Amino acid sequence: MSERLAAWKPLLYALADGASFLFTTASGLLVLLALVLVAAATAVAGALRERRLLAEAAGRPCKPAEAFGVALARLGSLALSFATRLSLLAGLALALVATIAAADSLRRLDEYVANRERIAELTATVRNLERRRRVADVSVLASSGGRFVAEFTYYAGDGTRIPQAQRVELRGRELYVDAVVCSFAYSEIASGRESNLALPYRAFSDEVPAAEGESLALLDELGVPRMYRLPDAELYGIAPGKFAARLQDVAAFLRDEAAARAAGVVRSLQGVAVHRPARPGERFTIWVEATGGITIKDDRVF
Amino acid sequence: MRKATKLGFFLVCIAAVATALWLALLRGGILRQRERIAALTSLAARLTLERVPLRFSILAREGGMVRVKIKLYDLDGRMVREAEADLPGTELFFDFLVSPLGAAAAEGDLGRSLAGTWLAFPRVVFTDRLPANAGFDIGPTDTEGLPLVFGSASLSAGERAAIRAVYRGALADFGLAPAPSSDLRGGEVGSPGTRGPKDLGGVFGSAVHEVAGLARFEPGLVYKVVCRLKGGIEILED
Repeated sequence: MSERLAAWKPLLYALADGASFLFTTASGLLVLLALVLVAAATAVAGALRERRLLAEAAGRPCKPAEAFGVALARLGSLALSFATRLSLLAGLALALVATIAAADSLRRLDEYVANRERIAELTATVRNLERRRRVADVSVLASSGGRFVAEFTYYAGDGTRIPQAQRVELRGRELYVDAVVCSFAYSEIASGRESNLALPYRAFSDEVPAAEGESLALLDELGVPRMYRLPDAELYGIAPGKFAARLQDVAAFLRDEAAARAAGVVRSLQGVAVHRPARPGERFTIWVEATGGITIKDDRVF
Repeated sequence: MRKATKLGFFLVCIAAVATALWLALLRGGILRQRERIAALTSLAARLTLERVPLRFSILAREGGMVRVKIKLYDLDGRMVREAEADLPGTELFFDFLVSPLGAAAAEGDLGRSLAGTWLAFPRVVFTDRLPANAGFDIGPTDTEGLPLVFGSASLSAGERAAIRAVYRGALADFGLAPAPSSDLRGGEVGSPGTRGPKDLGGVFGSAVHEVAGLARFEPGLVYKVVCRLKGGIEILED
């Protein structure tokens, strides 16, 4: 049954879209008016040609007043014909309204089902991501003359170090690592839990304003934070393909609040910049916590 | 012989007095430790899961400037300071020093039991165009050096001392104040090297802020900064 309905949907949607365009938009109404005018002009032209032929057959010219009368008569006839078919036209209008309503309802139903699937996939995606994650090791390589150099070594989703380190040199004596934190609320979905995902994106200092800070190279070529790319074997509750697709949605949430709110699972977006004094030789690790944004922890020798 | 007996007696007396003095000092130390343990434990119990030390409202945004009104609140929820500031920029940052309460207890069971309790001290408001070291101060203290947001009519002297110690330790860790002279076990927060067991975690700064183009604070609305016992800080509409 649903397959049959699905087969008819494109036709129904096309009909509904066409009717909706013609009767509810200014361009559609202009098209309709143009069609009516063309039909009226064709009918009047036909009547005038017929009268001219009759006049020629009778050996007399068709006078303008006569032509005007013929045109008026034809237009009147058209109006009368329109009036006698009002019930048919009303029926047609009703059918079109019903078609538009049915198509709209079906579309909303489709959207509802799709949104439910999407929310379920997003929820599964966030649950896969919400584990505590090591984002980067930071080493303060040097600090002198009111400047410091820090080296960031990033981690992939499977916990392995990414070989290319990033060096950041800033003026000042405190290193700030800034992140966007996206708080997901599940209250409307299931268990009322909350979860945060964070995307560190820039470094600045106590002397360098945030707007003049250095960008952190944490995104991969698809714009997804490297630490959120998980190996397929670690995923649960969602297929790898869907996880990859939803992961891009989640990454988009961290860049676009409108998209985040539209998805219906985001409670708030804000920035959090954690910071520590940049002393030479100091090493610390930046973590994205499952529930607490980002934190800095000392590096420990075990 | 009598001389030797007298000398022996004298030495025994001196030893007894020295022992008594040592025991008295030890007892005093133990008593101070007990007071500190009691203060820290009651402080940890008193601090609620989340509290609101600061509320703010954007009064205007124009010409690349933000005008903000800030109110600070103590542990009893009383407003203790009100201020307005004009800051250049578009993103407001509320910077806090976050320090583990367990750091004031050093090693041992108490330190471990307080490991999940963090104190967040307001420090400065800055923006994306104004660096932190030129920001607007939101960390006033009373005459004894206790941050006003941690004031409370019901705080005991020991609890106030514990908060002061954590605060001074956090400032010292960031090089914003000289390191306190006595060590943690004596009741004061020491330098980072002596700051309790490593697994308690160290002091760090946390600046919560709006993100231009993503999440902006609306002029006219009141926002609150919520500090959670576990160290998290969040800005919510009040």
